[in-house]
This record gives sequence, structure tokens and C-alpha cells, in this order.
Amino acid sequence: MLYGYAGNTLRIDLSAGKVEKEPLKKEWVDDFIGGRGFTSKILYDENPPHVDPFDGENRFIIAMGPLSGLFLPASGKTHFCTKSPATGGYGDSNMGGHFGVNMKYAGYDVTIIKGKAKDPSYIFIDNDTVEIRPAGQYWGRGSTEVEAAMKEDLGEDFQILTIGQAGENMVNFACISHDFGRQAGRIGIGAVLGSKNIKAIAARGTKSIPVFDPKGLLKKGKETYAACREKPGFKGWTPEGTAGITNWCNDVGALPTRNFQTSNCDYADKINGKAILKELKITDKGCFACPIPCGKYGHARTKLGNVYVEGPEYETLSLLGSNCELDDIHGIAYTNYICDELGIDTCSAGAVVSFALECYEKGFISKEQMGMDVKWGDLDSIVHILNIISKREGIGDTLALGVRGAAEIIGHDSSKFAIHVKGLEWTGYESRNAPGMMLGYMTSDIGAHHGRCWVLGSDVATAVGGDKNATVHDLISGDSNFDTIPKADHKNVVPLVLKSQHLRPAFDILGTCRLQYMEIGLETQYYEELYYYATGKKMDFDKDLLLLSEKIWHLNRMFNKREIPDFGRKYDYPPARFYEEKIPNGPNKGHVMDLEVIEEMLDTYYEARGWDKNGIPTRETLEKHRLNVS
Amino acid sequence: MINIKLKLSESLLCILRDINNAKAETYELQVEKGTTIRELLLTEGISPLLAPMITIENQKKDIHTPLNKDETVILFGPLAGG
Repeated sequence: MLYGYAGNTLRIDLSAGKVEKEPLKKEWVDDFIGGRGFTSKILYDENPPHVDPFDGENRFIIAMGPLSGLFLPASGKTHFCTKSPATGGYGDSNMGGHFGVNMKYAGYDVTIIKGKAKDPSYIFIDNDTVEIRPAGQYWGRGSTEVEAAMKEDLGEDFQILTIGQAGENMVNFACISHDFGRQAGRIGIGAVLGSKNIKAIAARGTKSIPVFDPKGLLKKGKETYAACREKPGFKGWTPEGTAGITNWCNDVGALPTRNFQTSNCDYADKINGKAILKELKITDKGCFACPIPCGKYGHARTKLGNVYVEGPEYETLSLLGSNCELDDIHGIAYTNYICDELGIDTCSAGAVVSFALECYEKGFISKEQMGMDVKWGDLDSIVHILNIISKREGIGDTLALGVRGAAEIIGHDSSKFAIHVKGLEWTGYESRNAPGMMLGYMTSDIGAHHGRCWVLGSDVATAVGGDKNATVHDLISGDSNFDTIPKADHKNVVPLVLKSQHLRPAFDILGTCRLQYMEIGLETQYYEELYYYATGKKMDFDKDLLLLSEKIWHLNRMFNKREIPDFGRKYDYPPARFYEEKIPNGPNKGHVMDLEVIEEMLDTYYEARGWDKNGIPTRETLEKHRLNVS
Repeated sequence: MINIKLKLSESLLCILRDINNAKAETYELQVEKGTTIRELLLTEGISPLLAPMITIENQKKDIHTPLNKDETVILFGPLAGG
């Protein structure tokens, strides 16, 4: 008996119209445990080398972990994986909500989809019944609109994944939506589903998951919830959610503003968590079994319409807000809603829209190409750009490639302010004075994503000095009359980056949200014990799980080496803006990331990882991790 | 003198560990009546910039709030957005 797992892999061949179930492979469980571990292994092994992301042979993988769906805090994470159309390399994205839990209750730990449906379709999963059904009635409609319609058609207890128009039209940063506001947003995962002619997946599961010691797990689960409630961080972020960090990012000069031209704005108070509570919020919204519901469901009122929307979260506030110079919380929430309906990742959307606005301002995109006279901070302009991207109209067809692809076509040195790594747009932390954060973005396997590594706080702490430097504290903590923050030291960032890069996959592997550890401070011992009661196996968090995280990091690097022509060090550099342009104002005024520092950090990082000077894992490193790849 | 119980969130503790200034999750200390939270942080070697949210009895407090009686002060470090 395989405890902690549903025990099955579901294989769907859309071209052949074939559905197969097979036992979950023991070697996957033994060597990769679950979630992101499974997806990394399966994509490398099963995707034919050099396949185009929109080719039917590109696999679309859904995976849960051994703790997914069990009675323990925030065990509702679902992982999606494919070869990314944005980067051409390994891509995964995850989301909360309730979908993966139902997949596991239906009996499937892993689902592997290949091929292309002949006509617009959706996948229907009701325990053992798995069918590819026509979706003509849903095609062309918005993500949440279709989710509501499908719940009406199939039943409220079905959990629905959908794509919007952007996914149908294979926009490189199209997302998957679920639960009326949760997204697997990054790497263009929704575009791959769209390329397969799949509008939605509906799942309902009512089976049990076998666990090794049900009574022990229940007891430990209760203890874990109780431990969460006792932690100082427990009540911290629920009131405002992730939006609560907005002012801090502005104060430390990390808030992307005007396409990352600068790193702070004078209207942070209008677009922060307090503004959401005052202007938008109706209720908190949480994912499966979560004790700290960070989602905010609210009502936005704008000249373009009144809408109900989950969010905006911090990334949306920064990238569709300050990065586009939109200083109205209702307007940002409205763009959030538009992105959700169209099925676009709000992170990339904000980066692409701000890139387009800067190109337009500089005369690199004409009014005729754009379709209207667009301006920074103008809601009509932002919504217009989002719409033409999703429909691939005019310049929208170029922008749909993301900033890297668009800059290659637009030219005029626009690549210098196309803010991405490896083709994935940078998220909400300007990092010219945050070397650890920048290195984390640079070396991320999927491109510039904060979810892979977040050490901004440590960078700031390094910059402002330790406990002996009260004068620096005084300098920067005065009554908002900032002088500049000192330059952060880059010398010791590599161990911090590695630690963060290894910690984060651990929770993705287990199938839980990381916030219970990262914010509440739930000790790793709880995860070890919960894993034991669920699976009957001993697991040492540091020696086993973090080692697996490291192994996955090497494997994904090798996937990128196999798939991306001439892959190596040159793919790990930040955009030129960050090492050529000084921040013009605010707390980090005058700072720029020196190219020499970038080179030094990469050298140190590669050496610590066991990679060669070009950033490729050495044979010794691969053998050490028992990875038979080349 | 008044007694202050200081509680630190994991996100703050993690940063302090990263800069070799590790602290306990909860500890108590005595300060003079009227000491502001900011002064308390500086005394403890915690940059005010690293505590973007401070609460007392579940209410958010400004960093310049004076402490006039025995209290439990909770400090929250910054956290990555979603």
C-alpha cells in the first residue's frame, strides 16, 4: 500500500481521445516525493527533446504532493508544469484553491496530458469517469464567467480550472484560473492548455486517501493547527494579505515604478493594503484548509464598470499599479479583474503594459500600431493594451510574446528596458540595491520569479547595517524624509540565496503552502511528523527534503540546457537597465548593480552549486545527486 | 520601568538570523515608561525598516507609539507578495 498518495497516474492523449490510468510509479515516489519533484522528473523524462511548447507532444502535467488534501494546514497546493512558451525551458506554476485536492480525492496524484483536441474541449473528471467533452459553448468567454457557467452546468461541487481568451490565443503569459480569483499565473501555462484546445478541466473527487496512521495524523494535524495559532506571526498578514507589504517595499526602495525606471512612488498610501480594506474589501478568502486566509475578495468601482474581484495582491498592486503609474486602488482592482477574465498573469501583464507604455512614450510604437493614444497611469490605456494583447490585435500580437520577444521585434534598444530573465518578466521587487534578491531572480530556473527565492529583507538588513549602527537606522527611519539607503553588500549573498532556493521547493514537493513556515514559523519537525503519519516513512527535512530541492534545481538546469539553444551563463543576466541606469530618486537614489558584482556573484553561485563557469552542472554534481542526464 | 514582552514573526527572525543577529521568538525586557517602539527596536538592534508591521493587542501601531504600561509587542517582518 502506498500511503499518503491516491496511487494513480492519469494519462490523457487528446489527439487519440484516449484516457488511461496506471499505478503511480514507485521510483517517482521514492526519488522525487511529489508536487514539484514529480513535475521536474516527468517533464525531463517524457517531453521529447526540442519539442515546441505549442506542439501536442509538449506535456501538460498536474501533480500533488503526499500531504495534499490531508487534514493539516494549507495542504491545497496544485502544481502545473510544461515546457514554457515564455522561456522555452522548464516551467511550472502552482496555485491554491481546491482543485488539486479534488484531483487527489478522485484518485490521481499525477495527470499527464498530451496531444491536441480536434475541437474546443474540456476535460471532465468525476472519480473514475474521465471524458474529453466538447466546450464550444464556453470558448471565447472569460475565465471566471466560464467557471460560474460550468458550476451551473455540472454542479457546485466540481472544482474548475479555466483559461481565458489569452490562453485560447496562446499569449505567452496566459494563466490558468480557478476558484474565482486563484491563478497558476506564470510561464504561460494557460497558453499551453489553449494550444491543446482545452478550455477547462472540471474535477470532482469523493474517495479517501489512504494514510499510514489516521489517528496519529489527525492528532498531529490538530496539534499543527494549534501550533500555528500560538505563533507570533499567526494574525499578521491575514488583515491586509500580501498587500500589507506595499509601503515597506516603497520605503526600502524596491517598489517597481514606471517600468522599473525607479523604485518608489509618492502614492503608495493610495495603493496599499489599507486602501484595499477601506475601498474594496468585502471578505477574506482562503484556500483549502488554510488557517491564515490571505485572499481579499472585494468590489471595485470605476468609470469602466463595477466588478467583484479577488485581490489585488502585492504583485498586482506593484506591477499593474506603480509600475504603470496607476495610483487608483479601484483602477488596479479593475485591471486585476480584466486580467482574470482574459486569463493573463497579472505580474507579466504589468511588466508588458509598462514596457509598451515606455515604448510608446519613446516613439518606438506608433499611435496607429497601438490603436489609441496611451498614457502612463491611465486606466483606459492599460485596459486597452490588455485587450489587444489577449485578442492579438495590432501591436498586441507582438506584446503577446512577452517583453523579450516583443523587444526583439520592436528594436530601438528596447531590450535594455525589457525587464525579464530568460524570457519571464520580473516581478514586484526592484533589486538594484538588493544583490541577493537580484541573484535569486537571475538564477531562477523558470525566469524572474520571486517565488523561487526571496531574500529582499536580508538585503535591506545588510544595507542598513547591524545592531551597532544606530546612525544608519536614524538616517533611514526618520519621518519619511529619506536620505539614501547605503549600498547593500553582495559578498555574502550566495548562501542566503541557496537556502531560499532550496527551502521553497520543499513545500511545493509536499503539496502545502509555504506561508505556514515562512511567516508563521511552523517548525520543520511538524512537516517531518505529518509526513511520517501520512506515508509511514521517515523524512529528515534538512537531509532529505532540502537535498531533493537541490537535486531538482540541477535537473531543471539540465532541462534548460537540453532545450534552449546555447543555454548557459548568458541567460542568467538581468536586463541592462539594472546595470546601466542609476535609480534616479528615492531611498535607493544613485544605486545601480555593477556588472562586476553580477559576474562575481555568478562565479560564486556557480561554484557553490557545483556548476561550471558557464553555469552547467558538472558531471560530479550530477553523479552526486544520482542524475543520469546529459 | 515597565515590562515588555516582545514577539517576533518568523519572517523577521529569518532576516535577523541571516545577518547574524539571531533572536528568540519571544522574550521579555524592561524599558522606561514612555519609550517608543522605535527606540525599543534600536535598543534591541533591530532596524525599524525590518518591522513593517507592529501590533499591540491585535491593533496595528505606529513605530513612534510610546509604551506606557506592560504590553506584548508583536513585530512582523516583510513577506513576499503573492
